[in-house]
Order: sequence, then C-alpha cells, then structure tokens
Amino acid sequence: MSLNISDKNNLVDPEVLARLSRLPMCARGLVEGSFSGMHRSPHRGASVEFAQYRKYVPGDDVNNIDWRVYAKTDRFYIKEFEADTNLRCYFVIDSSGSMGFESGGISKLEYAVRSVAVLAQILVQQSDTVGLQCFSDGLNFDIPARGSAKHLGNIFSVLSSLKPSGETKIVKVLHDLAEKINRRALILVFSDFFTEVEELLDCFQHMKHRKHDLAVFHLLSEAETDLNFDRAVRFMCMETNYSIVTEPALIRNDYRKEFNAYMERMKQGCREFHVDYRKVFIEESYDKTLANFLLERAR
Amino acid sequence: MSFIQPYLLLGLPLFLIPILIHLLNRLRYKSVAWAAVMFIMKATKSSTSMAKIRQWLILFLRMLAVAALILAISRPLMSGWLGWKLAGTPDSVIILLDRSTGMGCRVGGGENILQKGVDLISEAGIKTAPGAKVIVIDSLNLNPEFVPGWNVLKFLPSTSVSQGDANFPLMFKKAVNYLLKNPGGLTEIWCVSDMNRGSWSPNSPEWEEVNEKIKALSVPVIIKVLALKSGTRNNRSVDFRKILNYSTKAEGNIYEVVFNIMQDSAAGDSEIPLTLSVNNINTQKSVKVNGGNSLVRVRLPKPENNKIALGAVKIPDDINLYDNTCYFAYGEPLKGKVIIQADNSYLSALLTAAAFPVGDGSNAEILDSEVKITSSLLNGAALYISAGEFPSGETGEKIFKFLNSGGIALFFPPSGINSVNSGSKFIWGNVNKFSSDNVMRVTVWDREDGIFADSVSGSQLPLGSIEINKRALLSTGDIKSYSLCSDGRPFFYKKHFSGKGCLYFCTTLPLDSWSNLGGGPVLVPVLKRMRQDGSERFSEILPGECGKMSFNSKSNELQKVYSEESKESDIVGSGGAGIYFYNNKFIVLNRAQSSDSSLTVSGDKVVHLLKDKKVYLFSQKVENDSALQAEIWRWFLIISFCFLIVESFMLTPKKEDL
Repeated sequence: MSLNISDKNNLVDPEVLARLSRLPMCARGLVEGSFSGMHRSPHRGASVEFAQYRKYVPGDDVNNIDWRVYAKTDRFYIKEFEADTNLRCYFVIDSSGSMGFESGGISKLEYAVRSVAVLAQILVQQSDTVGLQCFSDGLNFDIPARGSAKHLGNIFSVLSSLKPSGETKIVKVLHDLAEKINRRALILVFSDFFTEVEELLDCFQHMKHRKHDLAVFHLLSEAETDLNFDRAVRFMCMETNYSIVTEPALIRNDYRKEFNAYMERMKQGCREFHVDYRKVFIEESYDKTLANFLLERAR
Repeated sequence: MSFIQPYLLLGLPLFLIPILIHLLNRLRYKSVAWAAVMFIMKATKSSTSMAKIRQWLILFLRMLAVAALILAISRPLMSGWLGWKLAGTPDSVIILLDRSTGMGCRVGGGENILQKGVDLISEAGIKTAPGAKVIVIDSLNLNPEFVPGWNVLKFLPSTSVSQGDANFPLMFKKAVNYLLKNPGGLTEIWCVSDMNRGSWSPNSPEWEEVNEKIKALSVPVIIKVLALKSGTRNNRSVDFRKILNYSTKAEGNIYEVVFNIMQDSAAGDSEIPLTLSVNNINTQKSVKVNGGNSLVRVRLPKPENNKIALGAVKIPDDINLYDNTCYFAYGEPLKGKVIIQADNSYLSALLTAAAFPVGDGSNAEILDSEVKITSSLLNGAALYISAGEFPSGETGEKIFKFLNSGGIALFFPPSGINSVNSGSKFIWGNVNKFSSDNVMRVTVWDREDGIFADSVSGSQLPLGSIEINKRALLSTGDIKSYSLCSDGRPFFYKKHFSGKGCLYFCTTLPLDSWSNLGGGPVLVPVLKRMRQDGSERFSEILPGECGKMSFNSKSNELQKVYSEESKESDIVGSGGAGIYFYNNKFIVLNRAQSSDSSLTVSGDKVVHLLKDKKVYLFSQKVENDSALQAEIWRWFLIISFCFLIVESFMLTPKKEDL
C-alpha cells in the first residue's frame, strides 16, 4: 500500500478499484436526486415498478386514471409508479490533529482519504454525485455534490492536500451539515469520534431526522484500545498542547473500562438511530473494509 | 532481637531499592502522541486513588521483602520462648548435657556456661513442656537419669561441670538406646553445649550409626540444640604433658615436669606467675608464655629416698576455674628387668649398654640364644630384646602373654645363620645387602608419638642419619610397618596388644656390618622409652584422664590424696582431677584435653550431622541476660517469600482485564 496521498493521481489503487467497482454502491433509504438513476426516489415516477393507487383529485392528468378500476368501482383512481433517481453522497472527513494517529504505517486520515477516493470513484462511475466536507475546528473544505469527472478531480485535489491539524468540532460541524444538506442524501462520516458520545448521537439523530442515510466509519487503532505500555509514558494530546505523564499499568483497567463504555454507547446509539456504524481498525486493509461495506449495502 | 552477623544489617538501606527503581522508571518515561487523551484523563481521575494505593502497597511489599531477606541473612536471634515453643509440646524430653571443662567458663555474674544452660533449659521446660518426662544424659556418666521436675535440674550433681570431655555421638547413642527400651509419644532431645568441636566430633563415623538408629525409632523425635556461645576468650589453661627424667654427671638424676599453657592466640607474649606444688610445698615461679600453646619445663626437687612425690602446677584463677591446675607424680625408679637374648655376646653387651647408658645394669638379664624363656623370667621383665627368630610353640605363647600383660618386646634379625622356624607367627626373610654407596636410610617415622617421637624440647631423633648396609624383612607375620626406609620397606614393625604391650621388629642390627644404629643417638633413647613403657605395668603411678577411668567412688580404698581445688571434692570418682590412692596405686587424674580447643562446630554442621531429622538450633550468647534465643532466619525467608507472593498476586491482572 502506497502511503503517498499528496499526489492526487496516486489516491486510488487501480487494483483495489477494479475489485470494488463490481459492487454497486447503494443507498439504503430513499434519496432525492436530480437525474434518473439506480436509487429509489421518494417521488413517483415512470419506472415499471407499481407503487400505489390514490384518489383522483382535480388537476391530475386524466391520462393517469386507471379506467379498469373505474369500471369496477365507479370511482376515479390514479395508478402511481416508483421513481428511480441518482444518489447524492457526501463524504465528511475529520482532518483534526487526532486523525494523524499512526499505526501499522498508516494514519487515520490517510485511511479515510484512500477510502473516500475509492468510494467517490465508484459512485461517479455509476452516475451518482459526490460531495466532500472536510473539517477540524470548522468546515475547511465544502465541495457540493456533482457527478462529473472534473468534479472528481477536484475532490481528489482536496483529498491529497489534507493534513491533520486543529481541534475537533465534529458536533457543531455535523449539526450544521444536517441543516445545510436539504435534500435526502447518503452521508459517510470518517472520524475517530473522540468527543462526548451523547452529543455525537444528537448529531446522528439530527441527521436521521433530516432523512439522510448516514454511515459512520469509526477509525480506531488497536493500540488505543489496549494501552499496552510497560513503563511510564507522557501522553501528548494530538489536538491541543495538553500532556500527562502517567503509569499505564496504573490506569489501564480504568482506561479500558471508559473506552469500552464509550464504544458500547456509540454502538447502541447508532443502532437506535439506524445509523450504519462501522468500527474500523486502521491496521486492517481499507479495501477489505470497503468491500464489506459495499457488500452489505448491496443486499 | 540480636543477630549473629549484625554487620550485614548495614545493607538494610537496600530495602529502598524498589522505590529508587520506581522513581527511575518515572523519570525514564517515553513520550507518545495520543489521540484518545480523553480516556486517559478520565482514567487518571477515576484510578488515582485506588490504583495509587495499590501501587504503593506493591512497592511497600517489595521493600518489606528485601528488608526481610537482609534480616534473614543477618541471621536474627529471637529472644523469648516463641521459637522453642514452635516445635510443639513433647511427652518426654531427653537432655544431653555437655559437662566438659569448657562449660565451666564463668560469664557475667559468676555463673558458668553450664549453669546458664541448665537455667535456660529449666526455664524452657517449665514454660513449654511442664508435664513432660525429663531424662538427663550427662557427658561424664552417660547413664540416663530420671529427673522428677524441671526445678530440681540445676541441683543435680550430674548438671555440674566435670573435668572430663563430652562425646555427643555417644550421648546420642545412649539417648536412642533409652528410647528403644522406653518408647513413648512425641520425644524431644535437647542438647546443651558450647559447640566445642572436640565434643561433637563431626568427623566421627559414629554419626552414621546414630542417624540409622534415630531413623529406626518408632516414635517421632525432635532435636533442639542450645548452642551456648561466649564472647569472652581470655581463658588460660594448663595441661600436663610428661615427666622428664635424665642424668647428668654433675647433678645426677634430674626430674622435670613438662606442661602446656594454652591461651588465646591473640593474647600475645606475657609473663604469668604459677605455683609449683610438690608434696604440699609450694614454690612460686614465673614463666613466659606466647599466644596459643606454650610448652613449659620446670625442674622438680629430687624425691627423697626414691619415694614417689606428688605435685601440681597451678596458674592464677581466671574465668574457668576447672582448667588451671594439672597434677603429676614422679620419683619412682624404673621397675622391671630388661632381658637381652642374642647369639652374639658383643651384640648382647652393646644392647645392655644402650639400655643402661649410665651403667646401672643390675636390672639386665643377659641370656644366651639357646636359653628357653620362662614365665618367671618374663613376669619380672619390662622389656625383652632378642636378636633371633620369634619363638614358636609354648615359648611364643609365653611371649604373647607377656605382651598382653603390658610388656614390650623388641626383635632384631639373627646375626648368625638363620634357622627358619616354620611354626613361628613371625618369620624373618632373607638378608638384603646394600653397597656402601647405596646404603638404605630411614625416611618416614612418627614424630608425634611413640618411641621415635621428638623430644619435649622439640628436637627430633636422628633417624635420618642411620645408614643401613644389611637388612632383613619379615616374610610372615600379621604386623604393620612403623617406620619406612627410602625404598618404602619397613625399618621397624610394630604391633599393639590389648594390655598396652607392644611388639617391635627392627629390620637391621646395631652392628657395624649391618648399620650404624649401634652408635647410640637413636638406640639409647628408643630403648629407654621402650623400657619406660614396659615398666608402667609395675608402676605405682597410674596416669589417667577424668571420665575415662572408672573406679568405685564409694570404695573405702579410694582416697583423694592430692587436690588443689577443694570445690571438686564432691566429684571424686566422677571426674574431678587430682591424685587418688586406690588399690595401692597413685592414680593421677588430669582433665580431658579434647575440650581445650577453642575450635567450634557451626549450627549448620550439627544440622548436617543429624541429617533428615527435625533439628532446631537455638544460639544463645551466655553474656546475655535475655532468655533463650532461637535462630529465626528461616521465618524471615518465609516472610520474604510471602511478601513476594502477595505482590505477584497484586500484579496479576484480573480476569475481566484480560
């Protein structure tokens, strides 16, 4: 795996793309697109799939009246069909300092960038539109959803320019995003989510309230879950100047308890709000993570 | 609490090592950029109190473990009765009491080591085994003696100091024999000793037998050793060595007493006064002694009319009153004839001259080689010298009887033709001749003891200057070499007989054609020593060692005729040194010397000697007023291990943490 993400032409590994592009990227719910596509729309349209009957109201096109039903019931009913539309997908990447945490030769941010690049490529290939939001202590990049190759090039340029820095303000950013994206869309968030879990779940609830299909990629490292250090360590926060010297053996048990409680609450909250939650260890290869994601989406 | 090796306590600050390591580890932290700092902060807040307490507890346990280890190697002694009590309460207690002279050293307020030991044992018995059956086996009498109660122990005659020695292997054997005859419940053997090496005889093969016997016992036996140690080493002792008797032209017959004064080797040179007492007439003298052993010779007054004179040498009182006097008797002329039988008159004359160098040959009986030896001849003889074959048959039996009754016999090879007597138990072999440039010399002989021993002044007999031109070895005979020539073959043979008699064979003749043995410097003193040894059976003076001679102390015939120390009058016949008159003989009893040595055995050695047994060692400095002290380093070692085990449990992660 090449670790060089500063070159936008190297962001997507062709082999990974070749493997994954056979899998369609599907939205789980209804999405509202501008063009005809492969995803279900909340609006009735002209597909072959029957949706429902509804009573005729003045103003409806009389050509849509089902005359056979009229013959049987002596009432006017309109026959409606499902509409297919394209997908609008927004990638939300946390580029705060903590995303610079490295393990197994790759940082969380690199992992997120490579995953987003591949998924964006797949989506554009299937005529969907993709947008990109990068944030740390505020929204750093905001690229609206479009489906052209040129647009994809712009997204790759932004991705290759990302550097981990700043403090995470994910809660505010996600709330803002929920309001800002006014049409139903698929939102994929890549972050380590190291913030207060209840506030975070509020954000997820907000997004679901806005009827977005939300998937979160929780980027973690095995080192963070274990805290396996054998002697005193000075832990330096990657987002602030805060540091603390402690004996890991002393706090290991409590650390693990806190960490596990956080993870449990996160999973539980995501289940509650029907958020597609994905715990990702950056020590695993990203193509495997993405393959699992796409496979589950395709079912 | 006191310690056997207190200087090791200097290492006690080492118990701070765990803290130092902890602090060093804290200083040697590594920096890590961390994303999940929020959990570190939360964990630090919640775990500060309990985890820190736990951490400090672990550190504290480590410190205690190190401290306990240092204390253990310092070999702590625990005062009080706890250590003694730990072994349980016995049904019967057998006390093996060392009553040797060394136990008479006074400590502190005038109490001697043995009294201190008996006091401690009594106190221990009252507190830990009040209802136990108590048996005492003391080193002098060696007979198991029932004691009606712990309180009377110190009033028994068998718990006072004697001038005999102690033999712990033998005492253990007596104890085990008692247990075999009187099996009981839980039995403990309590040993009271100053750990003198001579008393414990660590190299004695008897320990094997003791261990086998204890192993075979049906009752469980616990052994407790009370090792009484004194820090005082300024004791001085005197022991008798011998009476020298020689003649000079100017002064005639001269007697000298030779004795050894022993003191601590660190004492250095000093001049001490001593009292020489002969027939109750005291003479004050002063002698120079060195640190360690000093042999002293003092000339004695001539005895009147060849009567036996009784005397003693006394040095000033010190911490041990039992080793300051030695006794002697002298003045008795050598008794018993010297029978000389040779096939050569020149040889007979030469041997007579060597046996009686000052010309008093009236006690010599010179016989021709053809004369048959009779019992009446031998009955009055001290020494029988023969140049010829050892007789066979009836005559041979008579000589054996003579030897068994304490007589001395010396045989030379026949100077003439050897007539082989096939019935003899000792047969001479062929005569070997050596050229003048290849003469045989004597190279090995016993300089410590016997007829070739060095003189009292330390000069050796000139055996090395003997040149042997002709030699005949024994071809047959159950006898051992006594000294060796340069080719490793015997110069002298020697055989002991039960009645202190000795049979010697010399492999060369004191004739010029055979050797230069007849020159005198060797032959004269050797024959004189043989004559002295042989005449002991006629002597009215019987030397002995306290505790080694047994005679009926209640007999009317027993009289203590000479003793400097009135305090020992109550132990006549049971170990008190002095001169006794018994059965028409003067018995000169001096104290046993085996306990004079300052060498001791360690407690570990004693535990090793009594292998596979439950042995508890209790060391007690007799100068201490405190009660019994027990070595408790094992407990400290166990405590140290316990601390480490608890520490490892505290470090083991909980199941839910794994």
